Amino acid sequence: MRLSRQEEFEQVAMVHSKSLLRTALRLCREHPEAEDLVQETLLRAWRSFEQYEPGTNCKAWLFRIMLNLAAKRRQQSYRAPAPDSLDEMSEWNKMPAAPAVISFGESNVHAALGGMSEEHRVVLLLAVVEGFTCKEIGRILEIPVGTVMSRLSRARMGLRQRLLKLEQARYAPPVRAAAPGGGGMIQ
Amino acid sequence: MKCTEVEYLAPLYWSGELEAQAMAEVEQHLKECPACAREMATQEQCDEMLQETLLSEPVHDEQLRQQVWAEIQQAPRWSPSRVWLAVGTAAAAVILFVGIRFLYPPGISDFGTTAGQVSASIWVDAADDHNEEVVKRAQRKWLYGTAEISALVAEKTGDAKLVAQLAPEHYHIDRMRICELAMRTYLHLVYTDGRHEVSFFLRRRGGEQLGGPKLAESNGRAVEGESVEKLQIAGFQSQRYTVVVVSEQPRQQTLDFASHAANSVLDIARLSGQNPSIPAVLLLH
Repeated sequence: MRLSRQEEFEQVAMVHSKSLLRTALRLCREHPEAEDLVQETLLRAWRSFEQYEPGTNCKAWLFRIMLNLAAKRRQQSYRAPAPDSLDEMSEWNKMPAAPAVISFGESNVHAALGGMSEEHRVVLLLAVVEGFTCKEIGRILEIPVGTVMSRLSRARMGLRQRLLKLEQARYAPPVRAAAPGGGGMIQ
Repeated sequence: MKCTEVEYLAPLYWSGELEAQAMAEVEQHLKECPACAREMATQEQCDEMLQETLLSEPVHDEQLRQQVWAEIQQAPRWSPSRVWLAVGTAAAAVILFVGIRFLYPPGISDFGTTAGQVSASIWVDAADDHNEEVVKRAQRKWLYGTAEISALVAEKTGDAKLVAQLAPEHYHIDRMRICELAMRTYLHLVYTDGRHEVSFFLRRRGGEQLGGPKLAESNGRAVEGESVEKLQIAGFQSQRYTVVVVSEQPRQQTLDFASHAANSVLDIARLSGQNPSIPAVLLLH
């Protein structure tokens, strides 16, 4: 039995709505903004669904639409991208010694991820969380595979450095709050 | 294969895109090189942790899906007449957008929101902003004048007195601008004593969390801190506000700035009959 166009759209495109929203939540300032971005992405995909070639990677196609849309929106209300403030060492062996077993808290993961530049955050999310290959990421972002690889390496190192800093800070010596006038002001 | 080649090929190794021959060479190198093997193992753990953290979070897309289907049902086809209608709507939207942006520059409209699930490193962004805008004095549009600053603080936080009450002893407000930390809008207030400048980032508390490492407790509240390079950052969240302080002065001095501010905000809460709540003072960088 031949599927209707809407049934087909549900099966190949709408099934990726969670993945799209998960990524959008890391790109947008607020939840409603992320939902709006995904909604527009899916509606655009629906409008051009005639152009979609069955059997090809629909998830990658949807992500490409969404990231293009996000870039356009950013241009409309321009804000300077947050550059990675921590130096990300390019050389493999310059990485600070990592603990044998990593057990960073969830909040640290969010904090570290949020502090990265959008450029690095996006490739990391696409590769590690959404499982795209470097080649697919190259097509989604319309950049060469070599650029994806170097960007991904820097993003991974950047994340690790941020996590280490956050974790080291947790175990640094305690700081006593010397309150003016005898202390006890922080309640 | 050399260590540098393994480093270069690592992204393809993780994504399974390496050719069989290259894959075998990388694996052989990992057997022979403990340093690279350790790096790979650590990276694998890091990737798994990122996956687990993000994939275990519930993503509520039900309402979104319903809205998309409702739109699709209403407009199943994209006919030429609909294109013209869309062009008209888009034009109206652009005019509206430009008008709103003229009245309210980007970032202002989301002030004081309680929505949002994005948690991010507020302190890292605060340090960046202070470094760029105060230390390096990058070209920015600032608002000067106590009256003008107080008026905008009142508009965005509901309390003009904050300008004076956050001020450290012997400091006065110099300038202010609206900025963005960790994808949320803050007021960046710069105070000066004539020799030093200190940044206060202030917003009406929404869903953001400072989420810093805890090092000690004072009066039942967490006190957290770290020194990295020259910048010191301290922050706290009261029931109503999030405040982050950045200075180039010593750690204790910066903590005193934040503690003084925490007390001032607490006093406001007390005076207004609210239950005071200062969960933490964080000294992070």
